[in-house]
Formats: sequence, C-alpha cells, structure tokens
Amino acid sequence: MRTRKSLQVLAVAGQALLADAESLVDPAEEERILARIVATDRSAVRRRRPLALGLVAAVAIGVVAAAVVTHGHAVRPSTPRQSHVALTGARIQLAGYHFRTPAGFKANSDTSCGGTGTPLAVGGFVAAASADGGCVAAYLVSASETESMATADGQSVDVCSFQGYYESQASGDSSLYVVLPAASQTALSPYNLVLFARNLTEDQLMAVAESGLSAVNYGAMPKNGTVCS
Amino acid sequence: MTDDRERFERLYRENFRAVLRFAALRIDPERAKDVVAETFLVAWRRLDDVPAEPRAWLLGVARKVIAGQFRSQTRRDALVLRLEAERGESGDFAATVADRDEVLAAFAALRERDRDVLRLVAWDGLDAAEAAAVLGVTRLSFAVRLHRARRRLERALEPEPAAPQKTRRHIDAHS
Repeated sequence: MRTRKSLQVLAVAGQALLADAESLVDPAEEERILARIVATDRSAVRRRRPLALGLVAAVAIGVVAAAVVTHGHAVRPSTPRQSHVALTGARIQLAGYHFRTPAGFKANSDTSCGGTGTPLAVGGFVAAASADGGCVAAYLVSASETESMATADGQSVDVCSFQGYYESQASGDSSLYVVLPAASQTALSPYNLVLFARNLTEDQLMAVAESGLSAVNYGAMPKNGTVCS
Repeated sequence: MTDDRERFERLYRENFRAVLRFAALRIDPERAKDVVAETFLVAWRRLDDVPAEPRAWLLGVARKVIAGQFRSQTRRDALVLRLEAERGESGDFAATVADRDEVLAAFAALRERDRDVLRLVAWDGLDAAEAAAVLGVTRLSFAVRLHRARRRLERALEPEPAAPQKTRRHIDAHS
C-alpha cells in the first residue's frame, strides 16, 4: 500500500469526500445555475481568447477605498518610464486611484474608448478622459470578466511591480490589464485594473496606469506588491 | 445562437458534476458552488474557445477562478479542516477505514503544490495529459511533479522507525 498503490489508496480514501461534493447541488439548483448563465449577454464581451497570464490576484474595492481614505495619497516618486511621458492632462479618479492623463486630455463620461464593447465595471467604477483623436478609459473589473476580455496576442509587462498584460491593435486601440494586489487577506472579490486607450503609445498607457498605482498607499499590501518607486 | 445554446447546455450537463467535484475538493462547499457557476459563465462567454474535449479546459478555468477568488491560505485551511473532519467522523471504524484515515492525514500534511497534483489524478480522475493541461504545464513537467508528490506521500505513510529495543541478552549484559 505504501509505495506502488499510494494513488489508488488515496483515490479510495477520497471517495467519501467525492460523495459529499456530489450532494452539494441538487438537480433543480443545477438547472437554476444553468438558466442564470444562459440569460447573460454574451455579446457584451470582446474577443474571447485564453488570457496568457493568470489574472488572479484579489483586491476588495471597499478595502482599497478605505485604505485611501485612511492613509491619504502617498505619492511616490515617478518611475523612469513616467519621466519620459508628460502627463499634464486631467486627472481621472477610479475608486481609490487617481490617474494622470496625457497633455490635453479632459475628463468625460464616454467610457467606450478603445474597445468594441465595454466591460462590466464592478460597482460602477469607471472613469475616462479624451482629447482630440485620443482617449483612455479605466475600469475596475472582476478577474473572471477580465479573463473573457483579453486576447492571447499581447505581452506580459511590469506595471510598477505589478503583473500586467498589454495588447495593441493596428487600429490604434490598446488595452492594459493589471493584476491588483490583495488589499486584505479576507478579500473575496477579485478585481483587475483595465485601461482601454485609443491613439496612445504603450509608454503613455503604461505611464497613465503607473501614475494611478503610485498614488495609493496600500497599508495591507503584500511585500511583493510594492508601488512604483 | 440556438446552436451555441444547445452546445453549451450539453457541455454544462456533461461536465457540471466534474467541475463541482473539482471545486468542492479544494474549497468550502458554498464557495464551490460559486466557482462552478463562474467557471461555466466563462465557458458560456468563450464558447468558441472551448475544445472538443472540454473537461481539462473547464477544470483549468475553475482552478484560475479558485486561485483568483480565494487566498491560498484560506483554501488550504478549508481543505485541511474538511479532511480532519472526515477523519474524525470515521475514527472508530475498521482497519480499512483506519488506512483511509492514515492516507488522508498524510495527504493533508503535504504541501498544497503536491496535493494539487495528486488530487488531479486520484480524485479528479484525469490522465497525465489532462492534468498537465489543467495546471498549464508540459506533460513531462507534470510527470515529474507527480512522481515527487507520490514519493512524498509514500514517505509520509511510512511508519516511524521503532526505537531500538533492548534484548534480554543486552539487558543482562548490563545488569
């Protein structure tokens, strides 16, 4: 039992657990779940491809907002990348994040920037700014929603010290997805920062994202989730 | 759209229980239901990407949903507590049950990384290729992980070496 058959024994040992799992949902509930799923709108999401990186970190908006309220905005020194990009346009606010935008940008309510659709922003947290021919929109989106949005055509990038994923299209549209740090060990709702842009360079979009992330003081942030420095 | 819906409903009915078991063996029951619903929501939205053999794909999505929603410590604690409860309920049964308790205890003591690999094979019933797809690793890499996890499980099942006992002659020699 102890050597060759360890897997078989483990399989047998887990049978009771498997039986418990089977009984969690009765057929009626199974049907209700199915009905809820097929009632959702599939057309609102963008291209559907596997997301190349695991956008899996969790953050609770309330905790982030509370952290901002509690600790204020500890603005950190800008990154080298930011020093090459002038962000003198309007500031847009999203939950606890304040993003600077490129010169000439003004805040507005048109959040359809840079995408064929708009993601479902959690808690209505969405903000946008635009200038002549260009725009940027920021969303807080659930991780699962992000999984259905990003394509496999982009590349992994570092946004401050956070994991990100950047993709651009020939049309001039681009997207940046950022895995946000967990603000609390008890946070259950996962969110990612999503930035859509039109006619912004990669450096500009990265600088916009970093300007917001550098302005939040994460009191409960993990050690590996330091802000821009 | 009708074709899509029919295809999805078939996919859902054929794989619901597998995804439910997968989730329930990793997190607490109430959250497991949410994970299943979210997994199939992703499948519904990305139906064009779902392969003809969808089980590993679905379990891979479920794994990401679990990883995204719940901190690893919480997940680990929930599983260990369930295993301990399972052992506690069966503590007075026969020798076969005692074996099971022993195996579950050894399993619960392993690192999450090892448990993850062993669960895929022993409890989710996946073959190496499917399990590798769920974890997003190569088959070779999975084989190595499985081998190491099995070794660690086997070591955990090995009895503690008995303390050396003094023989009668040994005792006599010192008396």
